[in-house]
Amino acid sequence: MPLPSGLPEIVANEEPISRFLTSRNHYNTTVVKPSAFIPNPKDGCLSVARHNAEPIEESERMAREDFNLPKASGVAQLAALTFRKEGLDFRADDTPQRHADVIGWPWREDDPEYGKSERKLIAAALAQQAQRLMYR
Amino acid sequence: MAFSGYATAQSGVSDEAVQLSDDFARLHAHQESAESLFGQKSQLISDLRAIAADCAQDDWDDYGAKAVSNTVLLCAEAFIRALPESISAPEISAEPDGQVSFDWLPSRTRTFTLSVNSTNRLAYAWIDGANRGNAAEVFERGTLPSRLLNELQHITADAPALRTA
Repeated sequence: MPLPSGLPEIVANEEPISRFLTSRNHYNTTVVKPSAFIPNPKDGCLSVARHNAEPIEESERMAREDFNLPKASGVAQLAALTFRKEGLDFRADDTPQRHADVIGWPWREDDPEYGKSERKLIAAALAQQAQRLMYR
Repeated sequence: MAFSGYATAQSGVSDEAVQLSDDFARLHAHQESAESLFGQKSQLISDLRAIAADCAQDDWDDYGAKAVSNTVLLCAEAFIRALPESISAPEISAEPDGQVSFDWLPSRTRTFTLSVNSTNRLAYAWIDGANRGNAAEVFERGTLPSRLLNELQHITADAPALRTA
């Protein structure tokens, strides 16, 4: 059964995934840094959009209006399969429409810093594969 | 350095003067190196403080990130001071959990990324083509763990050193 956005509930491997860039220090002139893919500790997830970032104007509108991210200055683009190759998966809540959380990040209560190092490794791998697209 | 042009075998300058000239040249080179190193690290600390100021309030990324605290900032400054001068300058960013990340990105397939938090343990990870790894180690008394340094030196081997970057 499709979600209100019209997208299927299960994210397909070939689906393009957008991570909106909301901090200037999360990218440089050529690449996205691993920090852009570190999940939020509050919910343990990474918030993403099921969108191919094209046209870029629509990506910018979606970030600012639908996702309420006024600081969005660009987007990191990846295929869903790239996340799954790192042992992650998606929870497509479609709130707002096209929103999904990247889940399955390693957390270790007995050794938080080691858990962080595991998440950093995944974030670094995602950053290496990401395409950086900036809004005008 | 200033004397060296005059201290030749034919000039009649004494051995003591030649020795003085050599000592002066060494001192000058050391001073230049120290100033260069201090300048690079000062710039990094300045960059770090600017990022920490930008991220001093919760939700600095619109996604609900934690603020970078003064304690984390001080720990990150200590990390910069502990970096060997043979290592290239890292890129600095704030993370959603309020930690500071130092990243070396010498190529698309080589990454070393390290987080500083308010404890004395550093979380880090590296990717070198198909090889990758991660660890968490104690950082205290201004000395970086040898394993961390080995991996970092390997990843950044071809990058310009901190003092000459």
